[in-house]
Amino acid sequence: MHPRIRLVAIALLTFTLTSRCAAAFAQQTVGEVTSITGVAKLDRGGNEVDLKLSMPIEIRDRLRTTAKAELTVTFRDGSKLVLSESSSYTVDQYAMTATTRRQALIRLWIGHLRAIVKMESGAPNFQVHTPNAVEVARGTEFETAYIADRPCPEDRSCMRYTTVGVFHGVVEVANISNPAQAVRVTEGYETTVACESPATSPAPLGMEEMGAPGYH
Amino acid sequence: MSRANRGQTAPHAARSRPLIRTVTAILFALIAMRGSTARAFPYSDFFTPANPQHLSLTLFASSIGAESLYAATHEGFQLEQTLNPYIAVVGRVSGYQIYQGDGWDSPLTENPGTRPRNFGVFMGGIDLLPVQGTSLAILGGRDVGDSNGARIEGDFSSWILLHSRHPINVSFTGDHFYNNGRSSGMIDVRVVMSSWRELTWLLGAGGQLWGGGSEPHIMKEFGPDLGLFFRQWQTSLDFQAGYGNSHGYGAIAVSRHFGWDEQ
Repeated sequence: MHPRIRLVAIALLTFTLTSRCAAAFAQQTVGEVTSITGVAKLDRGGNEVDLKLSMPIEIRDRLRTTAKAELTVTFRDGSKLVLSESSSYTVDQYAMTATTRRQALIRLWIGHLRAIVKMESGAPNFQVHTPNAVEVARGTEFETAYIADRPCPEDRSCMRYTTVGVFHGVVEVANISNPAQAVRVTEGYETTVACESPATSPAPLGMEEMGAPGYH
Repeated sequence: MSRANRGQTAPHAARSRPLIRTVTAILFALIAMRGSTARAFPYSDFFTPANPQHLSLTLFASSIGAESLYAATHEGFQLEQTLNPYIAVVGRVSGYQIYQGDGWDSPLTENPGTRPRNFGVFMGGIDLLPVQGTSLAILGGRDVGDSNGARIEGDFSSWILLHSRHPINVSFTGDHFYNNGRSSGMIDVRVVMSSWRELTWLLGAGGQLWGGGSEPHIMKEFGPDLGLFFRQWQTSLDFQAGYGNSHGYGAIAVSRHFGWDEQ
């Protein structure tokens, strides 16, 4: 082979290989830590490390907060997840094209997670799953809580349940065992998914704090 | 209690019997509904501690004024601690200022005239929580200061159609003041009109009834209610204005709620 052609071939091969690696790296890193209070941990490939500000977050990372901690991760499309204390989630999927989200799947294992979802298109492509519920965001901000080892207020015989409160937009919520039977929860309302039961009809947020008027 | 005192309170007891029967019937109906919907045997966890145990603190202040007879303010705090999933203990400390007249929540034995009367009220009791969204608190206690008699109180509140866009709250409070033999009741029915991220607002109607002691007739006043609940601050703001035996009246109340789960 002519030395010049060989040189060009080597250059092309090198460029192709490195650009694919860079693209793969860019796809793996889906966001970064933008706020942290207290102690939060990152489990990546079985190794657990303390999370720090600006640390990159990748697909399949498992994030966990300890007591009195709060962690905010901002994703490349501008969406945010705020994890409350003693909670844990995994980024199962976060597919991007440039800066636009194609599909996101977050799995909340325990505790409270607030999602502030950037909605650039009408496509419902942001999902949060808990062990017994699935939520599809059609709006921008909602909070999910998965509680285990405590009786569900809707059914005291059930000891694991999910509550979803919506602050902006609409979220569809269903039991993970029957995703077709979803309820639409609008701004200012919440629903509960107890064990294998379908999601309850939405009730206004924070009803447990309201009762008789204060002059009683 | 002396024989004479029993004689004085008997008419009140007779008047309150239908009310007690009504509240008891509502509670039994709610319990029966729970029994038919719950999967497990209802109240099988009665002898276990609440999970989690919960402590709540409510700070409150209110002001009531009637056109012709009465003006009062009161403020204080209430602590509530769960014992099991269905029963909590309640303690309440409040201060009352009565500026004039002879209104529905006055335990004073005589017309206070124009001098403001100040007294504190210390109450304690239990709160029964038979089903989600329903509570019946039964309290007893004593006044100290310009009033110094005993009093008892029952507070009932229940949400109907809890899982709907417009839940309905029915509440009733009954008091009896042993100082002057007077009883009073407050009733409200309110509907959640709308709920947003920061605010829930309710509309309804309610009023007060009172009588007994030196008051031979049942007095009453009723009017519309407006309730605002500011979620971020866990604060309620309630207004009521209407008309009755004291002519026009208005009430305003603010309360702030704090709660702690105990791990």
